[in-house]
Amino acid sequence: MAPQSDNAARQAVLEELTRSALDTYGEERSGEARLQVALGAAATAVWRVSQETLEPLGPEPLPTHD
Amino acid sequence: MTEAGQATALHELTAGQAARLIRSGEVSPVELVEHLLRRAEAVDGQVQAWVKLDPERALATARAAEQLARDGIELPPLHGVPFGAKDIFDSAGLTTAASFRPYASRVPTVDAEAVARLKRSGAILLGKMVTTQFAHADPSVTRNPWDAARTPGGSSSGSAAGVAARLVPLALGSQTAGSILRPAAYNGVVGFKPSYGRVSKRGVFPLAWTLDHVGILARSVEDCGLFLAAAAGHDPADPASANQPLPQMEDASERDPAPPRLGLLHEALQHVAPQVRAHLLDVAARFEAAGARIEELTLGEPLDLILAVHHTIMQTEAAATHWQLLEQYPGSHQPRLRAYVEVGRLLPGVAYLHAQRLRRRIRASMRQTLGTVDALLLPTASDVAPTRETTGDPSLQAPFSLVGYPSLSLPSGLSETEQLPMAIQLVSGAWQEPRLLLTARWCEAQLPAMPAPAV
Repeated sequence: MAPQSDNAARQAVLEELTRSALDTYGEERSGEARLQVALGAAATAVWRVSQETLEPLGPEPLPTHD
Repeated sequence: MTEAGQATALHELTAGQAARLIRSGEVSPVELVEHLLRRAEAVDGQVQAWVKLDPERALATARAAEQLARDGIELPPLHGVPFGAKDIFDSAGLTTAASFRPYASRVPTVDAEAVARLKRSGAILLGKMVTTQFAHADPSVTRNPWDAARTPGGSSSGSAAGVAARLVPLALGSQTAGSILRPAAYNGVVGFKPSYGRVSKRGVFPLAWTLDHVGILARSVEDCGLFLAAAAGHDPADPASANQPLPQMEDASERDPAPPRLGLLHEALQHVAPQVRAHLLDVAARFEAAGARIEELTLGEPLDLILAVHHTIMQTEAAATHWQLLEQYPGSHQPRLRAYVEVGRLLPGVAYLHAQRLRRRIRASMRQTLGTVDALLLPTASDVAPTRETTGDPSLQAPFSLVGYPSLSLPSGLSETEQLPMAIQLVSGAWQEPRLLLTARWCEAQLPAMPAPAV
């Protein structure tokens, strides 16, 4: 089971995305099931990515090339 | 006509078998194209793998190929062999619509580079194969030839089902998450995705440009090698194309590659159905008994992080690719893709860039893991093909689209209860396609031959 702080952090990301959806697409579209599912999946991904810390690395190479 | 002393129906020929028989004069390219056109007429109503056949041009090309074969000149490796292309690959003079209604009349004037290279290698484009819309996740019309109630997978659904149903021996596909290997697994064929940048994407409609790969659906590992030799190579007109020499390919006729070192990815087994886990362990034991060295390995980073990084990058790039089309053609995108793009537009830029930086860390971890073995061994899919409401679960294919390493799905048997295809996945390090194909050929020789579905 995920710690409570993880759940709260993911919920905060979801709420932020949901507010953006409301502002951009309006209440009706934002409430549709398909969009809600996509918002939930994106919130989980963005939250999980944000949990990983990286030191500043200086010049950044292309992500797809060694 | 015979191959290895056995009478073989023309539609059962692999690309390599067909090429050899054409070279020896035992099969005519015209006969082969005509046979596959008749088979499409008889069978494709059940499978719906073809969007559009191109009979006149294919037959004209086959007649020219036949004449060249009679002339006794040296023929290119795929001379006279028919192939299909997923309908996101541009094809000169032939509609390329990506299952998007506003593009129904879109006829490119130039072939996608991969199509052009296969043609230069002697192959004959028979037609275009069904894709999910823009190679995303809304299910297509194509049926799984093993069970019409099951998904053929996606997004290369027509390519995989068509090769399985013996409509064509080779078909181009593309993969951003799992769109070549998963359909290959669900349909009981071989799916091969070379390293990112190995095959040009020029003329292929993008979904997420740092993740999109071109690859092939086929019925043998040998055919994957033929595809690679024909299609690989630097294309200065594609910014993602790598100027990376292809190492000398092993002799395709070599019968006995050495037993490989395989890294069994145990963490993948925590994410699969019990029957898939049992099957993979059984296959691994079989390989070990045949001389393979098997060691347990991990990806080096948690799978949920790898998938989150992939999701963040793919959704952001897909939104960048599609948001203007959404506004230009309202109501034309299918529901999953529309929602995916709409939400993708809302993701913070810093999340995308953080994900790209994490991607480098993940690549470095996997490079270290892969340095000790010839290939990773894991299931291709978490279960057999599910029902048609979905194109299936990309969780075990997407990690290798993220890092851009070559991966291959090999059919490995049928499930006990449902008699549906099961598959193993092999993955090697960047630019190590010859090693991957050699390993896959050894594994292929240890596994039972995959029967054809009853269509």
